[in-house]
Amino acid sequence: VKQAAWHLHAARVMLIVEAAARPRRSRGEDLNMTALTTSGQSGPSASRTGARVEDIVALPAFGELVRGRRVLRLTVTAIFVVWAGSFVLVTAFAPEVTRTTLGSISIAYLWGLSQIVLVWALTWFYLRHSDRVLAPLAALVLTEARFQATSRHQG
Amino acid sequence: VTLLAADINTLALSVSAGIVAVTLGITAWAAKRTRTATDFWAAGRRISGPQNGFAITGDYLSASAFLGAAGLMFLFGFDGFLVALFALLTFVPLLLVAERMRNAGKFTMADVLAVRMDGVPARAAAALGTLAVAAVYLMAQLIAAGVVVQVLTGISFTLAALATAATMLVYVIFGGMLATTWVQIVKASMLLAVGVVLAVLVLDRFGFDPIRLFDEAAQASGSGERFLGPGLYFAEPIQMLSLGLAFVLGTAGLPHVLMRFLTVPDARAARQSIGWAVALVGGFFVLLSFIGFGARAVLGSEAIEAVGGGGNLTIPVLAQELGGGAGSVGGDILLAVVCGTAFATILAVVAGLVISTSGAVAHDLWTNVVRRGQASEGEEVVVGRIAAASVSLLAAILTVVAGPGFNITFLVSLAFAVAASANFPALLLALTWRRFTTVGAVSGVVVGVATSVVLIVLSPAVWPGPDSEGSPVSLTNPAIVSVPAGFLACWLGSLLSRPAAAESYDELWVRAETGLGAEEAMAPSAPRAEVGSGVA
Repeated sequence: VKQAAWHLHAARVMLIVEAAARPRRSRGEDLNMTALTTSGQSGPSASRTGARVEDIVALPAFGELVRGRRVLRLTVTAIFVVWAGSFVLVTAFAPEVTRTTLGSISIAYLWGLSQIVLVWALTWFYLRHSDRVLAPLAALVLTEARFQATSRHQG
Repeated sequence: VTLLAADINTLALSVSAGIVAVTLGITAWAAKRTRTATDFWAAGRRISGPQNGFAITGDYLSASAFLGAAGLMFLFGFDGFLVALFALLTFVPLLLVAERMRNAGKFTMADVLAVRMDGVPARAAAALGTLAVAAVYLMAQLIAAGVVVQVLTGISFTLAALATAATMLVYVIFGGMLATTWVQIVKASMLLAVGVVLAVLVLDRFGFDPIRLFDEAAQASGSGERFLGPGLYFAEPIQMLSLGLAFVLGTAGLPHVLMRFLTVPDARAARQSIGWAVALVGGFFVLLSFIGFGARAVLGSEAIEAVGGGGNLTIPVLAQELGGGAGSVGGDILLAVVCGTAFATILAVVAGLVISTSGAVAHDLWTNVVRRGQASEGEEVVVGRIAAASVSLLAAILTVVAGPGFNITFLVSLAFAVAASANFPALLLALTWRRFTTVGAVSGVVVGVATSVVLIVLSPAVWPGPDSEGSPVSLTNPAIVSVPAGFLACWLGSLLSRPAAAESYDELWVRAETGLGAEEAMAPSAPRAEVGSGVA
């Protein structure tokens, strides 16, 4: 059991080191994930690592991954709702405010352009955070799931 | 400004014929590589992130965004730009479901529901949602095709719509998703190039000074500065909010866009493809704002007749003018290129729609509902091809009945409303709400489709006839009523039922969040000729 725990720890360290070593260009992460899923035997559940769904849900790393994703999604949604929502509501209910022009360019148009910038920025932020933080975490969940399944098979 | 001068036709026709020839070449290449069901509906899941980003851009920049939004900007100024902005804002909800869609899906949206629910009713409901959206969207695109081809060649609207339906069918039946994707990539690149050229030519008229452009657009509009602000198209706030809601939530429920995420190898490529699409579509809409406002400044109010019903022909008319006017060589060439690009745009988008409906009919309804999972893969693909043919025929007939009088963007917004009311609530709740049940999903989709379709039929544009008085519902877009109705039905249906024993949220949850058990990319199949076997 001690040795197994050490393996798990080593796998965690490897992944973290790997993620730190190539923060930007990490083409392989999700591909590795797919490779992992094929390597195990099909267990009682549909997942192909042989890991059981309830075991994965109980993994601390899974909890961390799910929380991380939730925070990211809620952050993006909140910024989006505030900036795009205020634009739409003001345009709908107080159009005269946005009709003001600055040298023939209306506030409405400038505020509209800022929506494009907003979508660019949110997407960029989402992709960067997913690549740097969440993808390594997802890979870790899969490593732990596979480890758990193997140790369960060995009794 | 006239668009039917006899000397245009040869040139414009040959440009379009060239585009069709290239796309048919792609189809022939793809047909050799399309053998399994995964090839047919998901291009073997070997499309890369950037490639898929271009293809999504192609799906976004349909005739609605290219011709329709520019037409609305020409006619109504800022409100037209607002419609384009709504279309861009949809990327945020889409970004939030893309990876989970990739991890949990196989060929269709219904696959995601089926992971955690009773597959038969859930798939039947999702197929209903897909078919309803695709029917309206296909009509919109075929009407656009009819209008553009009519202008291009002088042949009748009916014949033009039928010819488009036939061409898209060839792509889909023979080339499957691989052909559809590459046609989409080629078309997106052409469209972006045309956008750059037109924007540069327009800006050149005003010494590359946007302030002068907007100034002259406002003067030419007759409405002055009101043209540069909101309120000319949307008379009441509620109409604008309803359309905005349809667009922003609708895309994440559009079957042909969701299906795109199943063509890439993994979740990373799925989110990456959104990054590419957001960059490209956002840039295009900035250019489009110069083109749309510039059209008013360049063409003036006297062109309102020439741009046709709904302003759909604004871009062709503008292109001809920028190239040097009717009869000039430059004008003819630019008009021919723009019409050819518009035609390619429509072909590519309708092909994507047809393939998503064929997935719903063959994979969901036939294999999993009628045959209860017993159909072989070969049978599924055959049924898929038959379904594609039937859907195309049906859409062509509906188009001919509806006729050319609708603004394309308006019709597309209705398709978005159905998608936002029927598909989006079910998909979002399936991914996020543990207590969601099969009954909830089925009632949500049924209520979403029913509410949105009934409200559309009773709306001013359809009842009792286009643009006539006396319709029972004043909302031009039903989303503000039908989206809450869809969510409410999902919620009520779930509360009034119990999850079946086999229903497992955790299974979908783990799969969607980690990619564990997700469908994998296939090794490239060798071209059929070398292997010497038919459909595997």
